[in-house]
Amino acid sequence: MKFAYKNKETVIHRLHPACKLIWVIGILFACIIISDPILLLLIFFSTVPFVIIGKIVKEWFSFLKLTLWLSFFIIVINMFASQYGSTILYVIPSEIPIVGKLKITFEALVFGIGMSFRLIATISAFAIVTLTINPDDLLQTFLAFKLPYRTVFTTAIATRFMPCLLNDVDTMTDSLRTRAYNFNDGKFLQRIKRRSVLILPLLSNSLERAIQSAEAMESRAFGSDTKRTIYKKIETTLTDYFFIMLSTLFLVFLFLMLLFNIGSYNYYPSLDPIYINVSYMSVALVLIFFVLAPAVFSPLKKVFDLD
Amino acid sequence: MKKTYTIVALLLACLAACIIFSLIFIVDLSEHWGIFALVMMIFTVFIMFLQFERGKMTSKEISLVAILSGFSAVSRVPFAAIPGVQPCTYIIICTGYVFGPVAGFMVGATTALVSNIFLGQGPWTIFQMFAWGAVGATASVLPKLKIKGVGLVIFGVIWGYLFGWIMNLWYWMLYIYPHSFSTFLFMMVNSVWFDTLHALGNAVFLVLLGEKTIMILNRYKHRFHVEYSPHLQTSKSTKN
Amino acid sequence: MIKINDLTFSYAETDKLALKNISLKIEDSEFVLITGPSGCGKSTLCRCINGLIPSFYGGKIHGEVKVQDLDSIHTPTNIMAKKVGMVFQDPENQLVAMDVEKEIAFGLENLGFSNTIIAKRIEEVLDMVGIDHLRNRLLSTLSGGEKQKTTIASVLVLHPEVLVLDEPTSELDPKGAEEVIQIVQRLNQELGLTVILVEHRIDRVLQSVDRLIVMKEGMINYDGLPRGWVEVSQNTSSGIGVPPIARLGLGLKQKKQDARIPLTIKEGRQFFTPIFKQNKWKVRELSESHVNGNLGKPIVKVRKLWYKYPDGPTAIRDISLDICQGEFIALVGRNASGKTTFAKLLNGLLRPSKGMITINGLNTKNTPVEHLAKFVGYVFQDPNVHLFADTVEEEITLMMNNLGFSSKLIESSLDKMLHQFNLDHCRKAYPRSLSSGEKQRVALASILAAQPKLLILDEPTRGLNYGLKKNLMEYIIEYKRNGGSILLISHDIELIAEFGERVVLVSEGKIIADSEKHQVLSNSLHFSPQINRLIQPFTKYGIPGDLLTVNELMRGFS
Repeated sequence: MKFAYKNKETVIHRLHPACKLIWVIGILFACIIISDPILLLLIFFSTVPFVIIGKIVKEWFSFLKLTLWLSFFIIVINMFASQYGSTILYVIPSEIPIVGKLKITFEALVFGIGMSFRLIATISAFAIVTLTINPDDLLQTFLAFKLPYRTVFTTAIATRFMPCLLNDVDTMTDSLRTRAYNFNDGKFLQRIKRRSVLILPLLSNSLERAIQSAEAMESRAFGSDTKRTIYKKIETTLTDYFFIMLSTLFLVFLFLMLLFNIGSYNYYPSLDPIYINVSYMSVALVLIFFVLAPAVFSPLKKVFDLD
Repeated sequence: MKKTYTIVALLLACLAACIIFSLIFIVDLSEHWGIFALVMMIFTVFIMFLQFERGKMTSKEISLVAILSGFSAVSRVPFAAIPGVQPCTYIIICTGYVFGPVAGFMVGATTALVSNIFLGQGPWTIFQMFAWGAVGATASVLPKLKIKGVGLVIFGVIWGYLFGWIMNLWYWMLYIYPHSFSTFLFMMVNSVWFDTLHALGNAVFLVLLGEKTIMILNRYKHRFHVEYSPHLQTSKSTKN
Repeated sequence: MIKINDLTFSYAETDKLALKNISLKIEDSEFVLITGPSGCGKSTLCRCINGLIPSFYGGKIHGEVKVQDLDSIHTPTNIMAKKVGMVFQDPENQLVAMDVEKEIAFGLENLGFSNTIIAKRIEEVLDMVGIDHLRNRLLSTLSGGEKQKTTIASVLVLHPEVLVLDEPTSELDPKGAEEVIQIVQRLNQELGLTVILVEHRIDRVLQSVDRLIVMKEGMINYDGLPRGWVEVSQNTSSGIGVPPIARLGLGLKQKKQDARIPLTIKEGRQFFTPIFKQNKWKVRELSESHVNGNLGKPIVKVRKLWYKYPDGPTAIRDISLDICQGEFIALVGRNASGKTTFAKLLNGLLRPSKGMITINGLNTKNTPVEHLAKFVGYVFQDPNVHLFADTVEEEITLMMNNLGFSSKLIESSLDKMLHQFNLDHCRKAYPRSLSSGEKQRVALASILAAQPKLLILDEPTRGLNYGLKKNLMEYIIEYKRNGGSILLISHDIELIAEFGERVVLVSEGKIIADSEKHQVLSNSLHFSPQINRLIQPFTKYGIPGDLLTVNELMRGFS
């Protein structure tokens, strides 16, 4: 296991974490309230430029690969489960107990495909965020938002120690292997058993680390009664505010969509016709604008921030 | 002790609210109930975080929770090759068992958060945080009910399935329609093989290591105990 | 000023006293070195000064500790932190942030300082410690030495009056250790900071401290000038390493001579000049151990070996070498010169990118690690990653069981090992609860029980004091005498000079020198032991320029 995040000097990486965070929440929100397959597909395509500008194509693909199986599964379940469609493609001849006679409809198939677009769009956005936000910067941002300090700090310490603990696992595995210990011996239960010898020594080592880390924190005045301040290293510049505002507007826009029931699409009993009229086009365009905005305007950051 | 029960009650109330609301929405066949359930789950996680926040800020507690979470997250590495089996759940159960509901929940939730920094965040993160957090929080009730040994193993098995079902929710809610009992059943049946492996893994870990793990954690818990003694047996020292 | 009065302490859940009636007074700006064998209470004493004991650890305490006018025993550590800065052994576990600046800011944040003050103090302290160039680096990309310098900075930023360092260099390579010690010396001299340094390798710092405290079993054994302690010759055998030069001084000191025992090479040159001038070097040829005649057949053959890490650097470049039965090879080189990579290639944890390694006729490329384990034993640096079983007995038999030895053989081998490594008394003990020396012995015994043909030791002596080191080497030599081969990876040149035979020097994955130890280790600034550096100008008096140890030199005069 390695950090999904890699430090790369691209404009996407340099965007303020808060901006990316609001952006991804926006996309998740959008994907939930929108059921129109074309809009969902548009959202997905609008995330692609981030991947290219952020130079994370390879990693992004490996994230998406995981969703392929899930999309397939979603299509299959929807196809069998939904009995609301009217255009029958196939009727399963024999009756299934409890469920009754099953029919496969065209609408259900399209619904399944629409939902897999929804999935891919969400995963793509999350992948971009996971790959381009430095976990530490993100935690700093949480702190800056005055989110619960203890919780955030605990997560930060846990993240900090992960590479260390991973290294412990590797060394211990190597150490056992060089003592002729075979991890792959035997069947299922035997294999679990053989591998589990690592756990308790690892736990003891981890607890030892916990004590030492607590000692060091204590010796640096952690937990004193004074109210803690936070040294801000990530400076929030004017352009950052601009981006955060933009992302927030995105959320507002989505809320309005929800309020006026725009973007929902009825698959059942028969597919809604899609009218590509002016209002539909404008909604689609605004949506694309908001999704793309951080990528499109990110060169601004280079121009205005002189760092 | 009182605190334990309030927290668990709160958690159960949230769960119940989730279920009631979802029932209403299933009957309603509303489009947007997914958001609602998500919000409920985030709400629960936040309440638990606030509970954690209310405690006193001690470095011992923070580093313990942090490092146990990290440990639990990396402990799945050696088992990566065995599908479905990971020791996280068993470790979280033991943590909740020894350190109480808040620490149990925190270790559970942080495990999810931290391991996903490596494996990838997604909408599932919040569900995982909720599910593992609940594992830790509920495990804290066991010592009060004097459950150990076989009871603990059964608890682990139950959570193996429950965890899987909570995790199924995230995409059942968002990507499957209708939200009927039969589709949910279908999802569960589909994941039953995977969940069985998870439950079996939990059982194996709890049988093999449960007692020892609890012992190690208990020893750690009782290790730091202060006593100011004005008259320490100095006679002993002068003898040496 | 630090005042400790009649301090007695025992940890929770044990009756053993860790400190017994300690009374001590340390003046401002003093540089105090505390040393003693492991378990003597030196770390415990440190923790009493900044209040970690008792407020963090618990236990039973009696007595008084005062830093200026603060009472350490009843003041929480997080308040003591403003007066006493504490640096611990393992830098890895002390860091809390992701990059250097935020790490340094941590303490000030805890005390509620404003952003502007924090920024200013960070600036100051970066210069003070000399790590300005690291300020924006991620901590995970730093070397051990750089990490430890960061922790020093992060403690200094609170403007403490006392700096306590608990074995700050024992996890570091020699270069990192050297730099950390230099910083500490500078802080003491230029800022007048009171420094309390706990170290078990005292030869590096002895000359620059004002005062030496030697502890034993929770009590103070010696407290005074460092030279005074060295001059009492029986101390040299007490398990605490004295610089070789001081040992030589004691050995050759003439009756009438009243000069002080030298601690540095500079002092040594003055001290020894009259001695070497008067006494003629008697032995012409160095007798034994120069040539190793009776070697067996090669058991490891390395041919044109290359190794490149996947998406990483090329670590091994064109190494060819044979290891014969009964041979003792020491592998030396700077950090990241490919030593550990080479060792991992030998036991199959890594596979050659190009070239070939055969061990006992088996090609490592297509033999699993578990099979190679029969021939190659590997002892990891940290015994804590080496201990898995519930009892010492199980730990030692683990490998034999894995290799499918017969139970009769296991039984006899176990008894032999327990006896040989002096572990009979802790046969049923939990290995992790043992002392560090015992842990190391269990680790070694667990490997040697399976009688590997080649034993690889990766930095086995790091963090061990001189007495434990010597013990360890005796066990290894014993194994060699029974026909085993040894590959020792170490930074410890003095150790290799004393016990080694053939030395292989690697740099950037290539072999730079491969020969008998006197040829490789003499006359080099970085890889020569102290004695060898000392005698270079004395070759004009007939002393051979390739002598490495005190004993070799003494023999020439006997």
